Amino acid sequence: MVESIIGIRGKDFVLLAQDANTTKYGILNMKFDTNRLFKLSEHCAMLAAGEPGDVVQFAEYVGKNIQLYKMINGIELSPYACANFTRHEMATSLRSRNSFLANVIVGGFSTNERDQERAQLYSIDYLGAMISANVVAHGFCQFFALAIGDRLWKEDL
Amino acid sequence: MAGEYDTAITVFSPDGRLFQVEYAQEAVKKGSTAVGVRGKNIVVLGVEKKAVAVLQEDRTVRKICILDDHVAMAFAGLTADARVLMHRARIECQSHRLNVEDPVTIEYITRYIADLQQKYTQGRGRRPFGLSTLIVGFDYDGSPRLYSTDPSGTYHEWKANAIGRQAKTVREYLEKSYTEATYESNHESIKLCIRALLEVVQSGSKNVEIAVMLRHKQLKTLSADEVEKYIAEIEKENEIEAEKKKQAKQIGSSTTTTASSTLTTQTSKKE
Repeated sequence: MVESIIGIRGKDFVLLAQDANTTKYGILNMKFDTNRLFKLSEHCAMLAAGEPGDVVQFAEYVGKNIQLYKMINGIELSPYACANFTRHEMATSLRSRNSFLANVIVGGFSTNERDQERAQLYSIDYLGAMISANVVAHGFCQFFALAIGDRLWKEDL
Repeated sequence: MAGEYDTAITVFSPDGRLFQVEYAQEAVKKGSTAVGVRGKNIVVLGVEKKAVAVLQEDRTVRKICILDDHVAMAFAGLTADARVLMHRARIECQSHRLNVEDPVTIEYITRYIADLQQKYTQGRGRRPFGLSTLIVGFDYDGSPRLYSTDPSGTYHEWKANAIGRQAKTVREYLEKSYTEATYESNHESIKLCIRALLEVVQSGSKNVEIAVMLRHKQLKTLSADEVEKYIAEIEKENEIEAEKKKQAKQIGSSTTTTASSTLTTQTSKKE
């Protein structure tokens, strides 16, 4: 919960931000350069926070499957498709032996010119609920980020 | 005699052969030719493009395919079998990355494919895969590799190899023509690959498909224009060679006429 991940959607971009601290026992800061950003494809990435082991395991699993799709089918999945795949994996794992305690944000810019909205941003929590919004956040920072987003987000950022 | 021992492929024949595997190798010999060449900084794959039906979209016939960002494969033999093998190999490439955080080495993925092919020579009621493959790419340390597998499940590394129809002819040509210059130069490697293919394929960019991989770059298929340029260069070189040979022959024949004239006078004397 102490880790912050935030996503903001603009007209033709998606912005993903994260903090870089790893803390233990509530008071020890173990690492100042944690990476929470995982590349899914050339135009799509995932921010993940939560149980440290689950975060890496889940994010890398999703990432490699997106790459496999690209190898088999010759095209890259859009951020919309990546997010839906992620949600599906999260939901299936939830009611199985191995569930992941990871909250993720999937965002990117679709290379398909026919898409209505090309900047795509999704938030998926550890229970497999997915929403698409202009500002998304996980962790304690969401209380601040979402409120600021409500007040200050505008169409042509 | 052979018929009794090849229905169940788990069975050896009396003289120690696996007939189903040999029949699979025959199937490979019917497939269109594929050639691979390895240079110092480049790997080249070339395949014969068989003529397609008039109404068929020819871009759907893909004989050179990527297995991962740094590995590509060409095959000769049953296309459907190749599709299955490719699918398994692609999954293995990503699985390897997921588990050990490193891209596969070319040898690793070749061994994986060869193991798969071998498994089907020892299973009940399953026939072997009817294809040979050429697998090319660059290892993580940057070294270029070319491997070849066959239906029996064996694999070897090559500097240059050919599989499929008339592979023996093409391989002999490669043995004659692969030099230090081919190894050193990207241009020469590509040219050798095209030359080798043209030994058994009708000349023309629409009959061959050439794909090239450079270190840390993705596989690139040469366009028809680029292939035509190479073919033009090759044909010019051939013409120069032919001219040289003709001139050498003319010089040679002028000396032999004097020799034969002395011979004839001798024989006439005998008479």
